[in-house]
Parts: sequence; structure tokens; C-alpha cells
Amino acid sequence: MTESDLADGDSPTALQVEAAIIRAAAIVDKLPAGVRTKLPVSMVQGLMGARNVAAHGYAQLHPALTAEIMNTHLPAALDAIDRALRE
Amino acid sequence: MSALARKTISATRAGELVRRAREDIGYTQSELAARAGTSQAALSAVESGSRIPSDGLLTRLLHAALLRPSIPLALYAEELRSLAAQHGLAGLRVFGSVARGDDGPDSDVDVLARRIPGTSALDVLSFSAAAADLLGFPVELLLDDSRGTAVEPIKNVAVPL
Repeated sequence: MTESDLADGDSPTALQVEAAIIRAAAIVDKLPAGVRTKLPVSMVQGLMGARNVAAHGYAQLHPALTAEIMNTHLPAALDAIDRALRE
Repeated sequence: MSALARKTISATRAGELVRRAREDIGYTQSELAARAGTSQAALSAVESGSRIPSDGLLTRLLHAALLRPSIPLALYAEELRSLAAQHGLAGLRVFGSVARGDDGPDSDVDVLARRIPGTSALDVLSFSAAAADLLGFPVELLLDDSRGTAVEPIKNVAVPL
């Protein structure tokens, strides 16, 4: 995903990405405390922060930040959750 | 206030926070002590920094004093700026009720900031939680480069911290 994919903040892609961030943060939020504490603090708090911005509705993150979250941080978070659940 | 109560803060800082909150609401030590279910002597000891209040007492005192976020925001402004820098943020401003001065115990802190290029998105976005830990109130972060029709009007009314 690139910045240009998110250039139009009202496009279906941009809205789907916002929904994905909100859903991912909700998953992290609902993890048992013993699992969530195995995740890096900045990962948990950063996803919550992204969720809060996306859920607010009056402002959208810069496309570069959103693309970074989707390309880098969400996959890393899913991997970290997988590892934490298996431990 | 719950985050504040959980946070380990020094006696001096707890006392300063309680004193400022009490003065903000205009209570005497005796009035606040009565409302918080403690004695004036105990409150005096807390305010002077000679007694570290328990989490429960600190919560009761701050609750009874109707602590609003502008109090810890003023008290911890320098730390907040430093924390922001650690999260790749600069140019901190506040908007909303805190900027207007009509915040209350249920208000959050709306912060507008500039993202320092090259900082990880998660580092930037985790600022809200870290700042909420410091201030004891929810913190909502808006970035200068965010999109939306509300962003420019907010920039126009935001107040430097």
C-alpha cells in the first residue's frame, strides 16, 4: 500500500484501511492481559492511538503514517500476537 | 484521575497537585479534607510534601477537589514537552476545553502537535497513552499534517503549551 492509494481520504480503500486499524486495535485491546503484556508497549499504545484518531472522524492521519501502519506495524503486530499466544 | 492514582508520584508532587486543585476550586484545607473524608492535619501534611498519600487518599482528594486537566497540564507542561519530544513530536498546542479554560473533571486534553519527520508512526501515536499516564486524564492527539475540514480551524484556535 502506498500513500497514493490513500490520497483520497473518502475513497473505499481509505475507509477500509481505517476500519482495519480500528478492528486490529480492538483485537489487541481484548487480548487477555497476560498476552497483551508480552507485546511491546509502543505497539499496543501506538495502535490504540491510531484507533482513536481513526474512530474520531474529524481528522484523518496523514497518508504516509497510515501506509506505514498498514505496511509495517500491523503485520508486525499480528506476528507478535501470534508469538505471544503460542508462548 | 484513576491513572494518576496508580502512578507513583513523589510526596512533593502529589502535595503540589492537591494544593493547586484545592485552590482552583476555592476550598479551604478543612473543607476539602471533610469532603475527602480525612482530617485537615492529614491534608496539610500531604500538601506540604511531608506525607505521601496512599493511592486511595490521593484519589479521594483529587476527586473531592474536582481536579480538572488544566491543573496537571500546567504543573507538568515541561515534562509533557519532553515526553512529546521522545515520541517525535514538537510544537505542542492545546485546543478544546483546556484551551478555553472551561475544562472539568470529565474533560480530556486535546493536543495538537507537529510530527518530526522520520519518527515511527507507532512512536508518535503512542504519545497519547504516555501523556495520559503523566496527566491522569485522557489525551487526544491531532497532528498538524492530519487531514479533515476541522483541522485548519483547530490550528487557528490552538494555544501553545
